[in-house]
Amino acid sequence: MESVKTIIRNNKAAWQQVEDNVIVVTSQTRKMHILEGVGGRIWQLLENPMSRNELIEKIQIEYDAPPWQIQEDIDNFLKELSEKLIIKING
Amino acid sequence: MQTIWSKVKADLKQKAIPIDVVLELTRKCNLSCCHCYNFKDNAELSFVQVKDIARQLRQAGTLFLSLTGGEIFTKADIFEICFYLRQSCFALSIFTNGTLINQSNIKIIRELDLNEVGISIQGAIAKTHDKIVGCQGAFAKSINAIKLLKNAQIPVNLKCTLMQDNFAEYHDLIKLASELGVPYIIDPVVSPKDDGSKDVLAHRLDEKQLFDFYQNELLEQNSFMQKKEEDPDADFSCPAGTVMASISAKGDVYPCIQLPKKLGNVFDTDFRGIWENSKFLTELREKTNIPACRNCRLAAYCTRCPGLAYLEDGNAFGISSIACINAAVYEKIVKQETLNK
Repeated sequence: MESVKTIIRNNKAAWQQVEDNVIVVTSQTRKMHILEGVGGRIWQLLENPMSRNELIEKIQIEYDAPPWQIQEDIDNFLKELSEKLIIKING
Repeated sequence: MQTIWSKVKADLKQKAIPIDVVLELTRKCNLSCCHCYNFKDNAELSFVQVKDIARQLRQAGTLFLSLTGGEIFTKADIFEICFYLRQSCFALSIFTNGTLINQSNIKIIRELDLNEVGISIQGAIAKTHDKIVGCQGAFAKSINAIKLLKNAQIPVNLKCTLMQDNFAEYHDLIKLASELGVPYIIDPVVSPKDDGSKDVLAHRLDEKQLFDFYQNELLEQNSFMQKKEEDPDADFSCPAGTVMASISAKGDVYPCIQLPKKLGNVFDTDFRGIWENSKFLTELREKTNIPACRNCRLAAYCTRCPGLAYLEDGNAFGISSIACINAAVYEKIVKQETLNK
């Protein structure tokens, strides 16, 4: 995951912010996904494509947690989003 | 991630966020269905107006947007509109009669990544369908549209209003959907016209036909009846005006396409202002118990729709005569099933 160059939203996904959550409907699967809390924030930050490291830096500024934990959580989360076609990771 | 959907749904309802909106693009139609509820004034929204509405709906929290008519493909700029709405991040569905979908535009429709396409089919054979929709050759075109959509892997379903005119083909309609390999939605509700006229109600099924329909379709799969039996005091809550809204081809805001009570117009007042300040909506959201229905012995079987109560009986907060008829039919079915057991 460290070698990831750019993370971009699936630009064909439909989505809407509902309070602190983001509801995303992927065009390929027509499945609905709910991104809670930090997940919703990550979606917001990805309005502009960015690298994994940039994303981690931004989350570290906003959330109070050990850096290693933020990195691990974000890596796992990005992997999940990528598998669900919510984002695209360019290596 | 899905586990919190119930919490989000509760939030949407509590905060009255209109996540699901039906947008009537045009009232122009190339067919003349005998049971159509729509005004015949050819009103339609321009692309500029649709853009304005899209902006307002994004701000209000809408995600699911369904386009309906009239017939939406009679609009020359329908594809520009659809692409714009998709780029605006709406999950888009369309309702159409399918007659204007063909080999030359199916690729464009595929690129829209639609959530769902609903195609109206009003008979299992051309003779019946074409008579109901008032256009010879319509059946062949609509069936062809379903096949094209299915082949293009676009989610499509067959929608039918079951009425006197096609009741005899009820089972064949299900067979047709199965042969086409698509889901079907068969609805026995013929609504009064939006202008208040009730002539179209002559097409409605009689009680015997309703009994046959519900017995076949609902008894095996409808969890609603079980729920109501467990909790006969369950309220008559409806998503209209809470998480669901409708905007007409003139920009009028309604709680639901089936509840054409004008709340305001998006070209006079911002949608959010209408949605948040309507006295009618406040009453609709709060008044989930209908006093006149409170002690009704059929309450456990009732599927009352405030829109039909409004259109047919003149009061969205009063008794719905068609709901009473349906509830009596439900009760009869349940009692008969109980005796059979």
